[in-house]
Amino acid sequence: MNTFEYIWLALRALRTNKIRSILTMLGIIIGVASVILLVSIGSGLQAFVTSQFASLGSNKIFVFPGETDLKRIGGRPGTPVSKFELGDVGDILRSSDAIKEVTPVVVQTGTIVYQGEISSADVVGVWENYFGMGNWVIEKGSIITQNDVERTRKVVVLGSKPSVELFGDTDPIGKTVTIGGIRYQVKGVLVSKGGGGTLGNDIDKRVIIPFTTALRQFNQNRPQLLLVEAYNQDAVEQAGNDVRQTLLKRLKEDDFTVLKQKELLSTITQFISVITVALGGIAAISLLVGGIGIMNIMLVSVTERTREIGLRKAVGATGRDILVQFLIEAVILSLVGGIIGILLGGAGSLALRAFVQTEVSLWSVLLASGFSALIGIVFGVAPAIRAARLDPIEALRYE
Amino acid sequence: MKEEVLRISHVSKVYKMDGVTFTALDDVSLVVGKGEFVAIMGPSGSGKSTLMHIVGCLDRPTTGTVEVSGRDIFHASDRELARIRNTSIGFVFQQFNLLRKTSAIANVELPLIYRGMSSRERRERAKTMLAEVGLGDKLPNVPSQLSGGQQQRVAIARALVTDPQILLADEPTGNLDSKSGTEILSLFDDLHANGRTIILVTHEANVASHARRVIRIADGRIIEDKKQS
Repeated sequence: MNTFEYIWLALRALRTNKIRSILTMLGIIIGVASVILLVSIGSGLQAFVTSQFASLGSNKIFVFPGETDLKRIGGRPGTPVSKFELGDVGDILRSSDAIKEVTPVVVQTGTIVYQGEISSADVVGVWENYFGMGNWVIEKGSIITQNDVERTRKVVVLGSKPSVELFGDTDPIGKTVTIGGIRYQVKGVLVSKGGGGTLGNDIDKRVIIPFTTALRQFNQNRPQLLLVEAYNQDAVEQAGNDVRQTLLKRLKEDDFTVLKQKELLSTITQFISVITVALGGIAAISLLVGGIGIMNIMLVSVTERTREIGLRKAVGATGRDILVQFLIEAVILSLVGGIIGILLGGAGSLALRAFVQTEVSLWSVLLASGFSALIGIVFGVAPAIRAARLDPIEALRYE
Repeated sequence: MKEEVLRISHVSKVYKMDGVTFTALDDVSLVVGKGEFVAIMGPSGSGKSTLMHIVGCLDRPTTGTVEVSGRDIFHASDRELARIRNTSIGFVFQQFNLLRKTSAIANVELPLIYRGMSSRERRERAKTMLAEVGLGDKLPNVPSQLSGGQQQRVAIARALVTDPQILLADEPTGNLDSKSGTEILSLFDDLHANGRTIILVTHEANVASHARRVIRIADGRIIEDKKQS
């Protein structure tokens, strides 16, 4: 018997029990589709974060309070208390030829309200130089000035998301919004940096206020973190070291962490990868359950078709013929289920694009199809061997 | 003596179960020549089924030799036995054993599949064979659309499609009404007239009466072997 003949035979057998075959496949379909879908969300998230980071430029350095171990994702419980002082900003700037700009940053999530419309966004308190450092471009109005910072003015520059959410088509410039109940005048609107998604820390979902005003708003007296810009990418290493040396004069080693944007990006993407693999793994468990379903059905099928097996043996089928016949049935169940699952998962991930960025990766498709074929073989072997070993005399007598 | 298609020499079959031995066949010797129509008779438990299984290469003897068309089956591997069943033996069962939801022609084609024959040639042969048993107009019918007698004809066509040396029938009329049974038996008569070697296992005397030679078995031994006209 040739391979084509076996496949034809298996398809006929599966068609005889249509409903049962479809239900059995459903286990694999759901498993594969969820692997594809979850991995596509993870990959999409990764691409989104990478693109957002890229838009910030790769010459940035973040200085966080406390000790942050990049290898230990999640770190220690609780947010470390900032020990930075405003004086550090000048010290850092003066300490190095490699450093172009430094700004202190205070950031908290806040609720911005305009005539009943509500938008939740990161409220970022910074100096006027922040706009240049972050490659922010103003769409309307103007940016925050040194004057605003010095006079602690209650002015705000809206990111593109809050601007749309609060004002729609109305011109926001000059309007008054409240942030945490305090009135601010809208001074400008930023051009969107894009990214398109709503997942994670969307950088368009922010409003910018003067640093001094932010300290008062959030009732704080220190910068939460420092944002440093090196002159160019090659100077980042040098700049990072200089920041460290400067801060060490006043602070202890574990009071702060200097993070280059590249390291931060790789940490975050690593973190997302771990989550993606974990999600994919959980979905893969349902594939395993689907595989057990196949085994179950194949065992039932072998028992049901005992007489058929006996007859086939009587007219000249070898044990191997029977083995291959049942094995191919199992593999077709899982492989066809796998293909449908891939299509469904792909379609689902396209549908999800309305809400989050997704990316169907080739490796997840290959993995899912390979895995489903493997499941067919692994879970099909035991029933097939049982069928092949049936004694034809006993099998023909079976009622 | 005509050409031999089956030679059984001093065959015994002993089953051991839980330390108890049971002798199903005890030193049975038998030669069947080409073109013979033999009936094997005996009450249940006499060993006639065991004998049939050994002749049909579904089982091996404990001792003794069995040659089907000159091939020793005692030393044959399972694979070779399957091959011998495929080429030399045609089985007809009491319960027909047709594949359900499968057309008559596909049922008849079945043994040829295991020969690696092309589907076109299979189809041709199966068609010819079904016409020969008088079912030329029932090719696409599935077993549930056929009467018992017709189903057994399909089974006979399936047994003959490989042109076997021996047609082995186990109570072929046991599940049929008397009219269909008579038709099947007259089909066997025709096949015999055309030179087929037929071994018929039965416990009904009127069925055995169609054979030219009747072998009676009791307690695993041949107690009578006589020709009749």
